[in-house]
Amino acid sequence: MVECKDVSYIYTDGTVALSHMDFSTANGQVIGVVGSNGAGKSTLFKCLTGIIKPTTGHLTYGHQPIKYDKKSLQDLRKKVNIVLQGVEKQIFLPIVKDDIAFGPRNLRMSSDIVERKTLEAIKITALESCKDKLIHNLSYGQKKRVAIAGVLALNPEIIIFDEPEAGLDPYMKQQMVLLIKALSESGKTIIMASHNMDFIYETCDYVYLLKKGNPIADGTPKDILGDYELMVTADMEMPWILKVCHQLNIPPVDSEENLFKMVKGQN
Amino acid sequence: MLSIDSIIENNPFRHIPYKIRIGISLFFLITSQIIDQTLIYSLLLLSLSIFTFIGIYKHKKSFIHIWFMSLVFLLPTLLGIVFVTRVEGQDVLTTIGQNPPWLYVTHESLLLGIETTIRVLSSFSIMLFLIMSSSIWEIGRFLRWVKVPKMFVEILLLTYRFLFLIYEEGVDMIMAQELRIGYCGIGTGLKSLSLLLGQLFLNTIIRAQEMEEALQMRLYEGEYLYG
Repeated sequence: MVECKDVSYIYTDGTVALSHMDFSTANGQVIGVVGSNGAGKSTLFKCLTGIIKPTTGHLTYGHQPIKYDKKSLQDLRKKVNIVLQGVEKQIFLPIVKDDIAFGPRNLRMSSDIVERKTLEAIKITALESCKDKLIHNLSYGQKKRVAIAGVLALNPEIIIFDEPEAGLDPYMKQQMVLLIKALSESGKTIIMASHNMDFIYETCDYVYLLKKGNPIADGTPKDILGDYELMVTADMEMPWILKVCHQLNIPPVDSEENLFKMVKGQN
Repeated sequence: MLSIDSIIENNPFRHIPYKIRIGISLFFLITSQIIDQTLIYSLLLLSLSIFTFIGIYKHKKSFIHIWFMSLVFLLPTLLGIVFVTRVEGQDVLTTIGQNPPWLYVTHESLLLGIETTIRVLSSFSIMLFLIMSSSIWEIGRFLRWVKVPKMFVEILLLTYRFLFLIYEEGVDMIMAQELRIGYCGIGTGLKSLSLLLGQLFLNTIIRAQEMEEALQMRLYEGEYLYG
């Protein structure tokens, strides 16, 4: 479990990127961090992965404070890792399976274990058909899967996704939802940021709402994303399902199937 | 990631183990320098150019383009060797200018020019065969295998990756400038170019930082480990 208490981060030019943030993965299995541009989502993720050290506040992993020496950071990243938004940034080798094996090899695991972990990650991300292909020739969605597989090969307990659905077509987006659900069912804790409220509503069981570096609310997706006033304050939009419920003045529902059932039932 | 990776991946010589492939190239390069005979250079130039052409037949345009670029860079040096200003005791073939001529082409300078061209092109053909059949990662592995210091190999690999990051960034920026009519005349072209260079420098620093963060997240500890 990763937790932060009263964490703030101020850049050298004085910009407050994150202010008095409390965050805990104990609140859910799939946690969404939402907010408009400049809300502090990426800064929070950088703090959680030890890329940057908070200016003030406390960060803990498993109730132990996070240390910033090389060994401790490496231990942290074995447990908490991130899939960056721009997948090209975290791809380093030309062949799919070589790139996925990059992390385990850095841990100096034996070639058998590296092979096993790589194949497991390939299976989870459904990349079997292109494991020997050049990453250069893959579609954006497939590249994203390669980046996810690279993180999965390290077998972290907590995986952070920075806008996992950005740039994906509807089919790949749906595949991403299924992948995230499968990962959470396998016991992994997922933290993700997205501007797509429908995606957040469909996948998350707890949501943190930020605005200009300040946490303004947290709770279940229904409570947070369904609160029209709150969403307007945060310069965000409600998920379409909740928007329909709000307009029709009916109680919020979980999925579009339930919404259609409810509307048909009323007619 | 890069189109050169695609060329290498489709090269039929890729089925030869990388140690043999790279070892042969380096053997040719070193022995040709030691033997230092024009006939050896000529044979190497001919044979390796043919092999490289066969290897990247699908990308023959790239092959021709690379050769053309190498000749463009070679030409000024070649002119500097062939045209001389002093001819003490040499057999003059032709002159440029009159009373007295200010440039001469002598039998010796022409011969030296031809020999130098063949030597340079044969070395280039060996290197071209090497880089068109072996990825930078294989070259890195080979260098580590022959006990080249780790730091040297890492700098080589990171520089290679970084060069392409700059290239990709530069291509994107030029495209963005062209879309905003950035190169419609000499004046605007120069202005756009200066803006490009300044911004490219800043963007490159940002990309380098992002690359370092991503490497840290993949638990990189200063050594690319492969296979």
